[in-house]
Amino acid sequence: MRRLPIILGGLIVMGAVWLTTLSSRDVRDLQAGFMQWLAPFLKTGDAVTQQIGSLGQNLKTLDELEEENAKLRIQIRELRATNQLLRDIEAENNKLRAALDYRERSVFRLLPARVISRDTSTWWNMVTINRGFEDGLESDMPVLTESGLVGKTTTVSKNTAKVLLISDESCRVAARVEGTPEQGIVSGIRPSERQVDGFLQMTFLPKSANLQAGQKVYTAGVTGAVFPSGILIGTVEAFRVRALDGQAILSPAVDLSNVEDVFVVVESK
Amino acid sequence: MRDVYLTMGLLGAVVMAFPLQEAIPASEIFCGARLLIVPSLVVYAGLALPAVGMLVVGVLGGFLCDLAFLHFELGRVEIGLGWSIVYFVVVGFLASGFQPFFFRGHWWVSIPLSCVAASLYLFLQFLMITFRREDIIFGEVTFWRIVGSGIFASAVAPVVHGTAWFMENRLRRRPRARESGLARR
Repeated sequence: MRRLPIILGGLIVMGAVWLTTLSSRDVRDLQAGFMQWLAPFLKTGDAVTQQIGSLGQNLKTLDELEEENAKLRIQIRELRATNQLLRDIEAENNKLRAALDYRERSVFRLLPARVISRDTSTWWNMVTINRGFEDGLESDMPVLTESGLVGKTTTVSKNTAKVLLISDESCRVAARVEGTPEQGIVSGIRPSERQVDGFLQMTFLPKSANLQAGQKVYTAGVTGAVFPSGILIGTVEAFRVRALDGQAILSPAVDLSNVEDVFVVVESK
Repeated sequence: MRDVYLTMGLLGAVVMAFPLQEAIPASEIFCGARLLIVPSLVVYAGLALPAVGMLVVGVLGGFLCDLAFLHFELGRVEIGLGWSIVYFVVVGFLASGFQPFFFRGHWWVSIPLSCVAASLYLFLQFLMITFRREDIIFGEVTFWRIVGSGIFASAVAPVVHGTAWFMENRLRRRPRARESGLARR
């Protein structure tokens, strides 16, 4: 009888080792299943929070008026976000129009989504949104607001999706600095000191890059990249020269710790 | 029968721990430390249950923790699925070493054990990320996120014990009442 726990322990270890051999796709599917199970709890929690938040407003305004107002607000935000995306394309279009024949430019389709949970993990910056593959979402789709870039989708379940924020060290974005030829990679900074918590870094810049505080940083839109070009990422706060490259510290354009309503770039048509 | 009920109760608590953890925001005082409930539940299972019950709770807790905290970096899983199962099973076995002490009435032993179990879990996660990303960055925020979660887990431990104790008392009373009723007949 005393051998039973040892045998079970051995079997469990073997099972755990087998789990480590699963492919990324299988693991992603497992996580999607777990997220799907969690979704009703998250949505209920979010609905309760929203109800509590709008309780005061409900007492003052009619329900229809509030609903219409909310729809219009989403429309305004969507238009602003679309505008943000199209700004860079428009500039490029103007530049090339003289030289090239007219060709159809891509227009992005944005899907509004709501953050229903901030991830419970300690080391990775993620949020969960209330849209999933039923709404046309896939992994590695850009997520933004009218203010700028938020991140990209990772695991997508039926009705929810995890979004990896740009403040995470593992989310890397090709970027360029406004008004300069400088390009680099923007990523989050691993949490170590309070002073840098929430900031972004732009690395692989030339040591000679003369960046000034206040300059805006946009996505570079490299071929095959997740993020289209021209989305505002953040603003340069400081620039320092390191052993091998230059590093700029950026403050994100979007308040990532409080972001609630976002848009997912579902497709370019 | 008590062990079966307690195992079922702890399994239910493990499952419900995740929506609860999601609902509770990170602590700003502890630099973004989060509440981890599962380590406290596994420690309690190790203290109060026989090995088989503890293993069941540890496996479920570990598996769900892995799924909840899975992170993909460039399409690959950063920390492999399955390591939390091994971790929680080991924690459960270590906690079961304190069973004689626990059954002598020293229930508070679950408090420091929960603190250590949660902090060590995060510290190991941190080490795995560090080895994978090939640079060690350990600062104030890292320290408080690890220790802060341990402190929160130690605060959960008395709640787990209190709930288990309350349920156990309720279950104990019910059969007695039935028995006494039967005896009267």
